[in-house]
Amino acid sequence: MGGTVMVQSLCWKVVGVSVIGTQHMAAGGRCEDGWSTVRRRYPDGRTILGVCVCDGAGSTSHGWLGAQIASRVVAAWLADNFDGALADPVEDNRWSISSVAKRAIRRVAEKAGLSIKDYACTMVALAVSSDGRWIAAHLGDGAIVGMFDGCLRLISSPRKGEFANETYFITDQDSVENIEFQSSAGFDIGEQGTAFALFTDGVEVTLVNRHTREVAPALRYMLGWLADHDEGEVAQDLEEQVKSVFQQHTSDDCTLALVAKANHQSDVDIISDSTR
Amino acid sequence: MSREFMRVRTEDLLLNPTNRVPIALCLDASGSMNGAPMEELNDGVCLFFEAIQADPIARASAEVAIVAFSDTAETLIDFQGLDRVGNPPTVMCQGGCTDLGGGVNLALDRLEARKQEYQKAGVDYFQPWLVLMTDGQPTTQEHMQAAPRTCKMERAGKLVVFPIGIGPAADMSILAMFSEKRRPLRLQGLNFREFFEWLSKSVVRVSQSRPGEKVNLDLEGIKGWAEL
Repeated sequence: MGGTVMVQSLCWKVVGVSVIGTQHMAAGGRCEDGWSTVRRRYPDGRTILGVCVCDGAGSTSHGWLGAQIASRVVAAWLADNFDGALADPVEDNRWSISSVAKRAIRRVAEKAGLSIKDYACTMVALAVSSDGRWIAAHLGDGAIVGMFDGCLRLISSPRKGEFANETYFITDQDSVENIEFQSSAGFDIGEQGTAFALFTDGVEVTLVNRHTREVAPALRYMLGWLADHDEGEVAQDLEEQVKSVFQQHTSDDCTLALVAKANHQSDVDIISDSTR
Repeated sequence: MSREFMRVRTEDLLLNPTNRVPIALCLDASGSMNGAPMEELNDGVCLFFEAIQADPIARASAEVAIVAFSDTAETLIDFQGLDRVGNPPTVMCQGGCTDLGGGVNLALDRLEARKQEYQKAGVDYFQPWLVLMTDGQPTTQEHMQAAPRTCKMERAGKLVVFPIGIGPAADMSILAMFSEKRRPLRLQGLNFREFFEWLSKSVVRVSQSRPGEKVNLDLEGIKGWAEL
């Protein structure tokens, strides 16, 4: 039985990339998106994978750094608190996620003599257990897509104001109220997901139809590819594809993280944590 | 041994429409504009269209409506992309009266209708702009109803209003009623071209703005066309 659990705990693969947009590049700027992933081995043998992508606010001086900090601490929080978050009231989870991100950003901001608003960023986060259960938190632009029973489904769509340049940030005073928290426990089409994608608005513009909520077929292909191929190779391909295909349709920074159950367990590296 | 590569096909992506920037030009076409002012105004509008069309992002984003007001208010073009419009219609003097409030009301009605179309079609849009230009005083009382309407929208962050006076006879106190945030500016002479050049640059900046980004207008550039 232990062997079975072990195999289950090794089943998730993750790749992701953040690519600077042509607009920032032309202005000599930097990529203001960031993404992170962590894996946690639980005592019962499960591995929980946490992933978070963030888009730093272009209007702020340190949104890029806020995106890196928030993605790291939120991915870790979701992975560390997976079972509790599945059971706890949604309000508690929203409060915890907002607090952990703001606390981490505030520490850095105070050292720099800045306000946390200077580090404003959106947040799109997911943690998934080896048994297919998941939790997701989302604030602002970007989206999360999941594969359930072979069907791609938009779990969380962009959350923004009336106008195109109005969105919500984790550093907002009322960010708790605007975080959307969902989990497999409350999902209506079954608990187990087999693949997920998280992305910022630079990618969302070509992966989700804002009107119909349809998800682009390209995502099914990419997630299937990840399930079948080596993470390192897919990571290289993903960066190349974001630059050559996705960036033809936007001048914005692009971040895309793919999570898929491995079809070949030997492909999975369970130790690595990373922040980009 | 060579490996297989993941290749995404463009036809497997979904292309959402470009975010729109709706701009209403609400222009005085009363008899007093006849002659050089109207010629300069039309030249300025042409330049505005050309400048927007020259910028790839703004060309896909900007949607312009032109409402002319004199004895009555009339929509010369409704909100649409400049690719579809081509050249702007020529604004012509229609009569001796100045139904300024009627023009503003018509522009706002068209704007509301367009916003509903955006929402229905899933098109994202930026804060709309209203440019109001007149060289005199209103001859109807409609502005008493139209001005609170623009101010209410402005207070709610739903509209950016640019009230512009043309020439010494423009009643700036009436124009001031249309915005609580932006005082009316009087055009230097007939510097329509300078104004519309400034406006097109501002539209380009907005069309390129990102979520959370507050677009600051080029205040220095205003000196090129406004009496300060």
